Amino acid sequence: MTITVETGSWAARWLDQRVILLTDMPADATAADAILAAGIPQDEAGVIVRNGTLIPKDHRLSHGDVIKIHPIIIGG
Amino acid sequence: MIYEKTIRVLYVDMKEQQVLIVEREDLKQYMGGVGVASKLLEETMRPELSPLDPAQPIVFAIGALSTIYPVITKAVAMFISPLTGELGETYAGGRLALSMFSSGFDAIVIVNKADKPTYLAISPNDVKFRDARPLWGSEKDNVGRIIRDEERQYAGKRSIIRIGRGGENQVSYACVSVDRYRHFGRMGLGAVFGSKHLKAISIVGSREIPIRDFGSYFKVYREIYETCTKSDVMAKYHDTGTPINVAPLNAAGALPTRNLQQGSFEHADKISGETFSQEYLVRKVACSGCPVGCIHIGQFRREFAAHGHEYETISVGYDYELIFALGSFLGIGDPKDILELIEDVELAGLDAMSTGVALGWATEALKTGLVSLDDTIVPLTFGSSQEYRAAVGYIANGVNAFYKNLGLGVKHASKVYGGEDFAMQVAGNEMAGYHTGYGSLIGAMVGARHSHLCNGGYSLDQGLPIGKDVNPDDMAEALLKEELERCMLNSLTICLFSRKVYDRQTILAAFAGIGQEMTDDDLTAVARRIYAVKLRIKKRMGFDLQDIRLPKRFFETPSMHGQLDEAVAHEILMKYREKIAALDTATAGETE
Ligand code: SF4
Repeated sequence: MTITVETGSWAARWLDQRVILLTDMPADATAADAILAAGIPQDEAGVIVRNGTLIPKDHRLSHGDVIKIHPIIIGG
Repeated sequence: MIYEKTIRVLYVDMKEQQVLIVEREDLKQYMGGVGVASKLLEETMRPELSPLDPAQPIVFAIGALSTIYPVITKAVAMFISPLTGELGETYAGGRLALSMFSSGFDAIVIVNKADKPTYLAISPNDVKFRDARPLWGSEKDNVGRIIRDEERQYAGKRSIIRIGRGGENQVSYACVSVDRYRHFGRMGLGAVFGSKHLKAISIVGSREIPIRDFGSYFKVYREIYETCTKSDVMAKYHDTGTPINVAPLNAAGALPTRNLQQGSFEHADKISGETFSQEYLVRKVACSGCPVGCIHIGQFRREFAAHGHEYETISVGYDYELIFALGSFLGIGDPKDILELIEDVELAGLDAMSTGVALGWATEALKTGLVSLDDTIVPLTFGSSQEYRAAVGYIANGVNAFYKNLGLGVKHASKVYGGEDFAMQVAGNEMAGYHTGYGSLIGAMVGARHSHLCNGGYSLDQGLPIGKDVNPDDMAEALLKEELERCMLNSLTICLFSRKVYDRQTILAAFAGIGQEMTDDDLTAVARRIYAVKLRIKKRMGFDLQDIRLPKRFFETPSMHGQLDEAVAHEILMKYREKIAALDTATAGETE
C-alpha cells in the first residue's frame, strides 16, 4: 500500500526531502514501519498525527494514509 | 574536588564580613553537587524563620566530575525558596562551575545580611566585600561590565552572577543571572540574594590540576566527546535546540496556551523552533566545557528614539520554556514580541516561566472581574505584548498592591484575589510548558523542587502509548526511579540534556578514568542518600504531598493523553507517598 510521510526541517539529518512517498508498504504496516521505511531513526520520531489525530507507533495504517511525524520532545 | 579526600567549603557571613574555609571529609559521601549542597542546606537552614530571613543560607556547589569531562558544566544553588516556602534548588551553566573549580572551592555557603548593598569578589586566597551601592538598581549587563572592570587585577577564569530589580525588591521568582546568557532561574534565588543585600558575586581562579593517568582519562574523554558531537543524541540540542518542542507539543495538544485554556495554539507555526532559526537566530554559544552549544541567540532590531531613524540591535537567548511562557501562554504569536519580552524579563531579573504564568493568570483575573484596571494599570489581554512588557516592569518594581501580590507568585495572588482554579501552579511553583499527562503533572507535585526537571515526567508521558490507561503504581514507581537517578546525576552536575550520554556505564568509566573505582551500587547508594536529605529538608519545612491543591484547569483542558482524571492523579500521588514513606530517610546509610 501507499503511505505518505511528512516531516520537517528537524529530519534533514537523515532525509533529503520533507515529504516521502512510500509506495511499497505491506498491508499490515504500522506507523513505526513507515518511520523505519522513511529512514528516520525510531528514537527520533515522537508525535505522530494522522488526519489531525494522534496515533501510537503501533497503529495500523491504511492505504493512502498521510502521516505527519514530529520529533521527540526534548529537554532536561 | 578531583583527587581530593575532602570537600572544600567556603563559609561567608555577609553581616560580619567574615569567611571561613573548612575541608570536610564527611561530605564526600554525598559525592558533590546537589548531594553536598543538600547536606549543607540541611545543616544551616533555619526552618523556624521565613525564607527571606537573612539568617537563611544560600549554598552553591560544583560536582564530583565538574569540568573534567564534556557537558559537566553546571553549578547548583540551594536555599529555602520564597516561592514555595520549602526546598529551593536551581542549576546554572555558563562559566560558574569552571570558575568555582579554578578558585579551589567546591561549595560556598552564604548567610546573613550586609549592612549595605555589597558584592563579593572571591578569588583563591581572598574574599572581598565590595560596596555595591552604586550598582543597586542597575541591570545585569551594566553590573557585569563594571565588576569585570573593577576586578581585573585578579586574572583567571571568571564568572559573575548578579541580580536585577526583581531580586533587589525580593520578588518571589526573581532570578540570578549567570554570565551573559545563563540563569539560576527558578524558585526565587534572586530574592534571597536581595534579602542579604547581595547584588553580585564575582569568582575567579586559575588553579589547574594535572590528570595523573592521562592515557586512561583521555580514552574515556574522547568516547564521550565523540558521542556528544558525532551521534544523534546531542545534535538536536545544537541544531534547532529545545524550541523544536513547539511543533510536537502543539500537535499533541500539550502546548499550554492562553493560561492553559487551550493545549494548542493557532500561531504555533509562527513561533516554532524552525521559524526562530530561520528568521531570528544569529549564533549559538555554549557553557564552558560543553562541545554541544545549545544556547540559541536571537536578534531583533529596535528603534530607540522617536525621531531620526535611530536603531539598535538586541541579542537575547531563547529556548522552549521562554517561548511557551512568554509566547503561547500569553497568546503571543510574533517571535519579535517574544524576544522583546524575554529581554525585558532578563533586565528586570525575573524568572521567565513564573513571570509568564503569573501574567497569564492576571489576564484572566482582569477579564473575569476579579481584579480591575486600577490594579493591572494596563489592559492585559492575551496577545497584548506591549501591555505585558509594561507589566513585567510593574512586577519587578512592585508598583502597587496588585503587582506586589503578583510578585509573590500566582498561588499567593490567587489566594488574595480569587481565581485559584486557573492559577497554574503546582505546590507554589508556576507550571512548566508540558501539559502532556499524569507524568508531567504528578511529576511536578512529587518532584523535590516541583520542577519538570526533577523526574522528567513529560518524558514518561511521551513514552506511554496514546489511548491506554495509566497504571498508577507503575507511574509512581517510574517517577521515583527517575527522581533518584537525577539526584545522582546532579551530584555530578551533568547538564541534564546529556543524560542519555551519561548512562551508568559511562559514569563509572568516567570515574575510572581519573582513578576512582566506583560501582553501580555506589551510585545507587549515593542517589538514596541525597534523596533522603532532600526529603528531610522538606519535612522540616512542613511539606506534605497530601496538602497540595491543584488548580481545576489541569483537569479541564485535555492533555496529550486526553482529559486527566483527578481521582487517578490522586491515586498516583498516594502511591508515591507510600513509596517514599517506605524509604529509610533517617540515615540512608549516612555516616557522621
Ligand atoms: S548542552 Fe547547552 S545547557 Fe547543556 S552544557 Fe551544553 S551549552 Fe550548556
